[in-house]
Amino acid sequence: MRRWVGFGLGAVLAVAAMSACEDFDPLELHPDVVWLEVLLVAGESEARVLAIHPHREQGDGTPEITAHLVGPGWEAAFSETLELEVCTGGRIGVDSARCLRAALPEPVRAGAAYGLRGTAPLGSFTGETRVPDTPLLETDTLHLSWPEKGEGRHIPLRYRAGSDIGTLLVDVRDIFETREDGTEVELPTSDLRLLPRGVDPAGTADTVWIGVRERPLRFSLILLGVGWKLTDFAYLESPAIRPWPKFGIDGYGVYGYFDGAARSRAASILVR
Amino acid sequence: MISTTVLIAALQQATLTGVVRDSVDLEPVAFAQVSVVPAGGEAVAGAVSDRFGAFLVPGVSVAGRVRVEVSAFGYSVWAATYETVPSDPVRVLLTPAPIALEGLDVIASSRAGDPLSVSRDAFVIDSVLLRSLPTILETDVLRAIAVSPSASASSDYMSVPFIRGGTSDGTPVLLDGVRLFNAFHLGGFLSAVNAEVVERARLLAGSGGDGLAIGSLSGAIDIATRDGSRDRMRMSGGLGAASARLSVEGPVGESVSYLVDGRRTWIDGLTLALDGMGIIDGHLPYFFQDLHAKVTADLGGVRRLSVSGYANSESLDDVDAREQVTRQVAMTWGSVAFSAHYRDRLGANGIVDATLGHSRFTSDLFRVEDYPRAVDDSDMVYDPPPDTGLFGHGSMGESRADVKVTLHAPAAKIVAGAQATRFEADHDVRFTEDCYYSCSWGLMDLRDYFHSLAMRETHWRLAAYSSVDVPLRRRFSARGGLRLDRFRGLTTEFSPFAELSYAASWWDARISAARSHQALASVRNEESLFASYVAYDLIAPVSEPPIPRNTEFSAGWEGSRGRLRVRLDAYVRLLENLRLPAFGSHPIEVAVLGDPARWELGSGTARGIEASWSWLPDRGFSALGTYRWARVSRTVSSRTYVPRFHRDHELELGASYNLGSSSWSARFSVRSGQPVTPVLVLAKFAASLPWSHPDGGSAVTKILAGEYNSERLRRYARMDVGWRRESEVSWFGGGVVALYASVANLFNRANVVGWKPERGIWGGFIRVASRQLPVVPSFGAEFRF
Repeated sequence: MRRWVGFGLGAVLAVAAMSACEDFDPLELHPDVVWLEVLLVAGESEARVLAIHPHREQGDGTPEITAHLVGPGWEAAFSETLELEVCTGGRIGVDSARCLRAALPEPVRAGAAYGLRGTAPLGSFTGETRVPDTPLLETDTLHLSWPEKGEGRHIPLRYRAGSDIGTLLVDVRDIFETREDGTEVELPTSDLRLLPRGVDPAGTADTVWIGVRERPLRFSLILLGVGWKLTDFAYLESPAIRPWPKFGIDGYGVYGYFDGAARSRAASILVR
Repeated sequence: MISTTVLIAALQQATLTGVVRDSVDLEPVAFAQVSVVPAGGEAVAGAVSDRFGAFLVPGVSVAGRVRVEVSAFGYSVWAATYETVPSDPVRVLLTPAPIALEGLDVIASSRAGDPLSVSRDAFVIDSVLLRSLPTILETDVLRAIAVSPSASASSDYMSVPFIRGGTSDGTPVLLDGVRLFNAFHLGGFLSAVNAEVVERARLLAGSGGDGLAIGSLSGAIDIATRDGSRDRMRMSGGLGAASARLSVEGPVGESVSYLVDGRRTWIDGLTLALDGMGIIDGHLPYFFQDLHAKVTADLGGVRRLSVSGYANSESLDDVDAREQVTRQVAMTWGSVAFSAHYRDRLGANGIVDATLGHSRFTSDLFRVEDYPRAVDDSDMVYDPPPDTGLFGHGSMGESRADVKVTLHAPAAKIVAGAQATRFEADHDVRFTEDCYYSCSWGLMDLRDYFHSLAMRETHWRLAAYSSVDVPLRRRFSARGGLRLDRFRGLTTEFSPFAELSYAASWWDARISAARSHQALASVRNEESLFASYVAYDLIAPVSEPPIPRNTEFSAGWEGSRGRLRVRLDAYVRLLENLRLPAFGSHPIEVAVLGDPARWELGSGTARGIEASWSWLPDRGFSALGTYRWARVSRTVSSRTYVPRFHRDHELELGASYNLGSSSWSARFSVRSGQPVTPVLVLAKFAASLPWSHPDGGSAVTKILAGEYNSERLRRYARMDVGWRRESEVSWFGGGVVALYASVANLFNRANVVGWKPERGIWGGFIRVASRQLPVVPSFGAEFRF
């Protein structure tokens, strides 16, 4: 009798716990799928493509691809292999990948259309994009002073960006700090806290904030306008169900983005 | 001259009326074939008894002797010869004959017969077939209905099936003529109607024919209970793996019978006892119970009055009350239903049915975590709960009055009816989506099931309908009908129905077209993964036109050779003006019960081919099989997709073998997998841009998925087996005791309802698949004295 009760109880409890009953399997995806990242930056005379086998473990082989960039009247092959770090910026977690470079016959033009074609293990692919127009940074030179109290300094910016720009990033470079003896020392960009990293491309004025340093500082500030393809991808909710926004690359077994970016001229910021 | 001849002929004809009953307990016998044969001649007229056993045969010649023959599945043929056509109703008492399908004729009061053939419009499950299928926990009328090729359960956990690509809000479950909301227990696993008292259940797959009186989008499941024994008091019941049930029935005087039945689960009591004995740790504070009562008065002839009442409740109540804090989940819900039916004769050829019904579903939900309380001598004083996950109550109800007249003219059968229906919904459920502990109870995350919902709507529907069934020349016949609905405050709609049939000697065929409307919609999101686990639904009136509409075309063929019967049906449906949840970015991860204020206007299509066959000899081996192919789609938010509950192919095979007092049964199901959205690529986002990871670090992984629900899960297969043995006993004046055992999913096949990608604990991605039913043994005992 007890055994029978045990059977019955087991059945009932099994049913009651059904919603917690799950199986776990490895997610088996095609190992030959290729992920491509191509961002053309106006003014640069080279282009790079980061090709990844996203479904392979490290050491399982890098993508065997051919790729050509098609510009206004010319075509350039991504034929030179670079250190992976050049394309990844040193990020970890990007394995089974290659970084390829193409030397261009002319610098990338803002506002120009470019094409991409090539082959990957599962088939050929094509791409097309248009490099956005250069954003206009109206701020020229700013002389500011560190506040007596507080953590940092707001920098007012005036700018204009076209509708082809989806993301307007703020970047700083050439950061020099003046020491007590009057000499200037260049700082790495990571030493300067800057927030936010972007401004509203549809706006015309905004402020960014830099963390306080106790010494006089000068640096260049530019705006980097990035097209909509990369913007849409960056803000894509995951998992994203088709149809996705256009990321610029089409092909069976080949995914990724092909977009352009343009830098504004630099504004000089001096903080004392 | 001609008119005089017609008049004389009419005056020489009469209508034979009567009621067919079981000779033992006097229960009405439906679907009995009645034929009237002039002495020395061939049958000139015939009829089929209706759900109350009544029949009318018009156009019988008053001159000379007539022989009346009545036959029904499971009964010996009844025959009587009359010198003239009786003017009073004939009382036909059929004597049960041994039926070898399961050898349960003692328990069953009557048989409907072959489920494929007894009704043009419906798939009929009777009490014998109900018990001839392997059980899952206990005998279940809704699970038995799913044998029909028109019915598809969205998962193993759902007892209530979807009909021909529709969802449950379009298929009302009727109990003795009144709608029963959420007609199930245990999240949808068990139906809420005690199988002990089910006379038969009809699945109306379409909107035409008998469905015209329902006026729903996707047919109906119509469950009729027995009247109660009129020969002596009887008791029946059972003890199953999930509950104990008991029914008592008997006569009151000469012409009144009663039936009272109840059921209660013993999950909570058993787990509590085992917890107290230290055998298990903790108990399951859940119970369900239902109570049904029916009184029927036979007023002579076809006249009758029956009153039926039903109530059920479920509760999940877990309180952890300590000195300083209290955690509590308190959810109670349940239904009540009441119906009264009166039938009388109307003139020589007519029957009038009047039905009043009311049904109401209520819920009270509460979940709070860690609220401090101060205890004084008398009672508790609550501080404002800091972490209330769920709080609210709701109700929905339907009141209905229905009058139907059925006229049996010699050249046509005419049905006309009028209905008034009032539907009300009052829901106020507040759910804190960003709550912490109070969003879950044990392994259950309330966010998977609830969304805040506040609405209060009342909706009136007035309807009139009529249909006519006319025999034509050359074995053709036609049916046609029209339903006029006034949805007060919304619109007036016409719903026509037309059918043309041809009957040959051993087969018949038909084509039909029908349209139907309803101004109710569900708050359920069937795309939610958890919709496969919980069947509860809240129905809401549509607040503005256009109202949901179904247009369907169907064709059917049916034939029989010996004991083999085959039926084929094909259909095309267009569902318009549906209210569907907006297509979000994570369709399978949203709550099951959403807010109708966020619904969008959508549409759907369904088309399919259904085949069913039966081999039901008098004894030995019997089999019933169905196959269905269908395509179903939904369109909402400019996106067309296959709904997650749909399967393209479904094959069901049921067989039973009877030997002496034992019987064995098996049910085998093979179905194509449910839709699932494929993962195409896991993109490790590594753009060299400041917004991502300017200082290095791990790449962000994004999942790009393919077209929604464009792939299929692996094929579904399940084998259930059952055994049953009956013994006659002398206890309580004699009766039958039956023991049964069954195993669902005998081979413990890991069928799944869906999966989603998740990051694994040790890196990489895994597929988290939600399983269907594992192997479930169950057993129990039934008795009838």
